[in-house]
Amino acid sequence: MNKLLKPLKNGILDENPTLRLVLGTCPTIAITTAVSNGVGMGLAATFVLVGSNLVISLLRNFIPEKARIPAYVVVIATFVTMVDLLMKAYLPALNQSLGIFIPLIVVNCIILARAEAFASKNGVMPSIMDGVGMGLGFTLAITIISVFREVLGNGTFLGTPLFGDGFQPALIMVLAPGGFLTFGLVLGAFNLFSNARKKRKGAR
Amino acid sequence: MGDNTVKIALKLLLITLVAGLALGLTNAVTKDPIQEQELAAAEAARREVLTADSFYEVPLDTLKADSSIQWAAGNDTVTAVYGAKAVDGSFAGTVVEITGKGYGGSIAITVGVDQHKQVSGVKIGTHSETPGLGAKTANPDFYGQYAGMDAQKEIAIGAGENGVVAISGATVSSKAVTSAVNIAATLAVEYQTVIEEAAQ
Repeated sequence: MNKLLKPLKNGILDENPTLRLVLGTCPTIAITTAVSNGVGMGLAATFVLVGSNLVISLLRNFIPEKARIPAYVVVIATFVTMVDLLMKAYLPALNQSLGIFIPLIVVNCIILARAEAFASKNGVMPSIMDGVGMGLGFTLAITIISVFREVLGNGTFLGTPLFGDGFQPALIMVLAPGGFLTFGLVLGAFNLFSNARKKRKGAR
Repeated sequence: MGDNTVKIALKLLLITLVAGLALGLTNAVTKDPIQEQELAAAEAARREVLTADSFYEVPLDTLKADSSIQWAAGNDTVTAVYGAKAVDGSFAGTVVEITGKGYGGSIAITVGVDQHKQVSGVKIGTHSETPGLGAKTANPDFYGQYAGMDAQKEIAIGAGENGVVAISGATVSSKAVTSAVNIAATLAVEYQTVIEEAAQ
């Protein structure tokens, strides 16, 4: 397979950060109450992930092995803060929809995990593609979870009511317990799917 | 070994130094545009609750000087008061920015009262109410109810004249917004002349 496309597929399917690596579970549970949140958080995280992977990959020969984690943390935090400030100053419309997610991304461990596991060992182009793949995988996963939670917990999809007035939404779904329930079930379903894929490959 | 430690420390120092410089530079460049954006956003919120040509801030001190109404009733705090002018320069109303105490923390509320002492609009800003419950106060379905109400009478929860329908399951949040709107309305009505005169 194409060398650059492989990290893409890897991030979305084989090593989906949320559903296979189980990283970034805090934002997953916290913000998946509405589909718009899921998409927004996913895209903002993808952007930061690509940027931080790029910087870490460029600095991979300079960063001392023994002090790499503090170096990554500094680089990621700096990058996120700069993005946050620049977006507030020059892209107010984008900031209004994605702005609240940017500070939350600093604590998203997917970013640090990819810096450590991929960007620090690979060249610039593969690192960027890894960022795109992982980011899209994260976006896909949290969007799926937020679809279930918004539709069942609020009776809406992207803010549009789906059912008549008689529908009483299951509030638990938009609260924290619903987050755990949905996350667990989606995680299980994705595992089933991955196992089936593995079996099919093995049989070949 | 000792030499190595020093080298690592120096490299880390260099990284943090560059990071600090980059952040300082970004902050210096973006400080003014961000402030402008924030001012523009606040202006947009005022325009949303009250139709007017321009707004002027009324210093809270001039209002507090002869205070007969409660400034911090319960947990509501008035943060800013603006007078509004129509195109012909006449007084168009008052906009009050107030912070109410909801179920999950404070709720930023902007209330507009026109020159006829009617609530012209209410807008909910940042809040941390429960999603699906109290957070529904930020939906137009809820805050739109206040528009057109008589600012001289107490707005209450419940059906009937000057009454708003609370969000079921979120009485605390509904009451918090209503209480803040009442305080803002009283302030705007009681000080209408003072606010009008502050234009000069």
